Amino acid sequence: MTTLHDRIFASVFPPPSEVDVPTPTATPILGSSGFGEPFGSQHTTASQSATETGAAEQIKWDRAWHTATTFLSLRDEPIHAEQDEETLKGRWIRYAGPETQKALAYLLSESSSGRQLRRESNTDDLLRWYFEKVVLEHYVKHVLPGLIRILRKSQVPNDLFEAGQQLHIVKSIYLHPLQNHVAQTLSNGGRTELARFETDLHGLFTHTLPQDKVVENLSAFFGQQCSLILNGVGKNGMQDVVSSVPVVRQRTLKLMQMLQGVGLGGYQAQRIFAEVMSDILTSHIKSTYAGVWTSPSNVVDHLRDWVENSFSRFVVEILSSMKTDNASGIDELMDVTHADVERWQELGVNKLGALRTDELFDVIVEWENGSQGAIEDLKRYVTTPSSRTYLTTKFSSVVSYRLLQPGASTTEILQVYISIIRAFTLLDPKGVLLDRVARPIRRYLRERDDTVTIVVGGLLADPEDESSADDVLLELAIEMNKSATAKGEDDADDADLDYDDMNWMPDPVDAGPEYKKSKNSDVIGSFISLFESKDIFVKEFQNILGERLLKKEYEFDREIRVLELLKLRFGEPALQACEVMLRDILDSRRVDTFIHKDKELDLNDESAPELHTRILSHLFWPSLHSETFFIPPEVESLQSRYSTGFESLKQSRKLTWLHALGQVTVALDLEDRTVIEEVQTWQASVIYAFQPSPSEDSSTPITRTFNDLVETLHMTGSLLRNALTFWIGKLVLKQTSTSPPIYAVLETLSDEDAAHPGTTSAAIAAAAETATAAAAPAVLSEHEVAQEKMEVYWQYVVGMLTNGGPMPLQQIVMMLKLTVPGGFPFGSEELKDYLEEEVRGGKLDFAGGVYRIKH
Amino acid sequence: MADFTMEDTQNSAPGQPSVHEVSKLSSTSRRQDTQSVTKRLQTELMQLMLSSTPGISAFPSSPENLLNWTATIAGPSETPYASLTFKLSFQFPSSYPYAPPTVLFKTPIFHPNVDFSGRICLDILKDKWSAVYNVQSVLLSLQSLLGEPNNASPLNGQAAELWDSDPTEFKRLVLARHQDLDEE
Repeated sequence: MTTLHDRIFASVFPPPSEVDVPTPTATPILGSSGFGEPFGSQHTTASQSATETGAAEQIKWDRAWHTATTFLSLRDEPIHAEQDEETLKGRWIRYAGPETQKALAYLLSESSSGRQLRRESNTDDLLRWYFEKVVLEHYVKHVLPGLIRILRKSQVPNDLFEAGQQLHIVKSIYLHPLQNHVAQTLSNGGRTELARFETDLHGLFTHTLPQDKVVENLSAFFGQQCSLILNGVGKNGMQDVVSSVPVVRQRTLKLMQMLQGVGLGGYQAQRIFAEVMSDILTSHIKSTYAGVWTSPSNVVDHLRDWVENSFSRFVVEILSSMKTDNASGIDELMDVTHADVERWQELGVNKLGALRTDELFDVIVEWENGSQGAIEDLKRYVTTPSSRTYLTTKFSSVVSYRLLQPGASTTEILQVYISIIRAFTLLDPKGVLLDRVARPIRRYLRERDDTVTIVVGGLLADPEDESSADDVLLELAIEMNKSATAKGEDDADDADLDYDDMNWMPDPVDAGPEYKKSKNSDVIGSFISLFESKDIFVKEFQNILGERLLKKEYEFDREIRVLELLKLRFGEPALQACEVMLRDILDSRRVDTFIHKDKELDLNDESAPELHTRILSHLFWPSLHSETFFIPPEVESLQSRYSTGFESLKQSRKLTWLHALGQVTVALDLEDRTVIEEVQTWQASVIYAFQPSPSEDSSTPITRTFNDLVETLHMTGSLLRNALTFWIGKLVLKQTSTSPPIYAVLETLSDEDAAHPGTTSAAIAAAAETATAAAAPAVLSEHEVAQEKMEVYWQYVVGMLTNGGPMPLQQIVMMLKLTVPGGFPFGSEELKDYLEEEVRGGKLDFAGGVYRIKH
Repeated sequence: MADFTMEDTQNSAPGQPSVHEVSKLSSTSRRQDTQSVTKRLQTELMQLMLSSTPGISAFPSSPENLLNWTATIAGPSETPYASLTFKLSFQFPSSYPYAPPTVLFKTPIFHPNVDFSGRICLDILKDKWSAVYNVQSVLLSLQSLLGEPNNASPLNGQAAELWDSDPTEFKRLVLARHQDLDEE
């Protein structure tokens, strides 16, 4: 019933089949007007017969066409690629009967006369019809959506595999009738036609599949497979990988062949492959060599070996699977030559260089722990101007980002700088690269206030002294020792003039025309030359030297050596003051011995204190603490005797005693114990003030009030408090009352006192303070000097405001900057604090943003 | 302050190059001059600040230019000017200290040797100038001039006359003329 219904329906409305309904054989030949003849006119016989044969031919053609197209048409349903081959075959592949064969042969034969007649319509070329009507429509309708779905899943590598497989099957189904039934009827076995059909098919596949997805899948696939094969990066450890590598390799090659077979290989795949291989090279280098810095380095050789034996081999395999059959010129380019391998090796070395460049900062930070290998690798890389520029720019930016930050301490920066100098000297002995990267660091270091102090401190540090603090740059001291021991280094300076030097190398290409390796490119030299003007350096050196000379006993080998070294760098005149300072100290010993003998100071009774001096030529010394206070009379008398001794020795020279400087060994005989301390003079004076005066009863503990002490000692409050805290910390004194502050001597150290929580915690706190107090430097720091000068600046401010009227802070600062010789050392904030002090003191008014002097 | 700049040149010593002429000198030598002048003035200022003589004080007027100063003199006690303060302007030529500064009273003053524009008749500011003088000595001289005017060569005849004849009237005129400059 349905069939009947269908047939009736179909007789009225042509079925939507691609198969044309053939012209019935019995169709009467009505004839048609020939070209150029009026319709229905009298036909000539000749034309009549031609028309008649044409009509018969046409019917024949049409019938053949019908047979062939019926045979060639495909089922209107998707191809289920997952089915096995037999099923697919049974479902999709038809065998042509003899009639079909005949029809095909007729249709495809060049000589078929019916073809001529059908030229104008689209029904003359069976193959074209097959491709356009059957294959294209079937593909778009049934195959493409499935493929797109597969590719969208993005499950590498299975998708690609699946898609490839499906395409492969689809293609073979499409091709089957042509290969088996059509081809033999054509001349030359139909090779040309088949090739054209295949090309069309490939074009169809390539252009209909979403490009980005294919690229994405393909590159992901390559990436995964190749890294599995080449890098041996497996999740399950080496063992597993080794066993699976051949499998993966096989699979990859197979897929490549498959893709190639369905037209997805070719140029595009090659490009993707090239990109992937480049990535592989990078990631291999990264994963294998990153952080491998040991020296001596064989990384470069290892890399070359890998490129040659693993990388290239794999590339050859893949490329050969990509080769197409048709011998176009492109394929020859795909043959891997030895030159290619070498290029890849170079590429690898460059990539390694880039990696090392990225790592360089870490390499340098780790320098002390042996990262020289990385520099050796880099050395193979920095051979071209562009790589050198890349290295310096990259490194400089890393340095400024990671090192030259407020968070980094100056010591750290200097430490890294030392490593940079060492690393770059190894990398580029000519120093061009170092010169470039060091500039920003040096500029930055100059901006730091404490750079000089740390450098000088480092130079004078004792490398054997384990206890020294972390922020001392021991490196410098060690380096200093090294350069002192390595003699004859200076000869190297004239290396360019040594014509017999067989190892001479020209300056690198990127060195400036006037470039000359600076003589100071070693660590010490770099640091000393850090400052444009040597004055800053010398001044700082003077301060630290003064400090050390006054603190230390008579052992100045190190200082002398540093001084000699600096003299070489800066010239003697610049360091004259330091020279004098050293001389002073050394002379003092002689003079001291002499005066002692001369004045028989030693022959006094045992109880009298001993006095030794350091005689300083104060003009050459940095500003020293000159606080005055009363010193014990015994000492004072000694001093005056000493002075006379000195004046008789050195006519026309006079001694000025600096009470605040110096050390005293104090022995305190308390009731239950004896305390011996090495203390500062002011601390000694304070404890001496607790000596019972004749009128006092020495049996009870001596007490003194704070104000009494200030009066008797003429000492500033802060200094006195400092000293009292010191002695409390030493458990010699104790504070018995807070207001007014009264202090008493702890004659007996009872358990109670020692264990008393208040006392002990106070003592601990005091001990900490004591440490700082004891460490109070002898030489005034620059800041203290400036503080003293503030008095003078105050005069400036007074003058300014008196004459110029009220002014805002900024203007005052500007005026001071201009008018104070040598510049105004304070910032506006510090001045503001000071001025506010004066406002509180009633000397200034501050209103409406301006300061006004009070009359 | 600007309205005095025109008059400044009138007070300058004869033969001294005017500002205009100075500007025509070659720029290098002028810069050197300016530098040495600046240095000298800085030193003078330092001295002045360190010694801090009571009753006188001076300071550069603007941070741009050290060649213009403002000075303050307190009137000496036991003179008609006691307890008054006077502001003066100093303009240093680029040949300073080989040429004297131009000094003007900016506070109106009734004085035999000062005219109503503030110009001063004082020998050391003119032909008796010497490089050993400095701001401090000029100010001290001017301070003493307040107490001991030179009535032989007055710029203000009335003042010269009254100084000797009628101290009370003189004092009245001094006070009438004096007015504290508005502080800028």
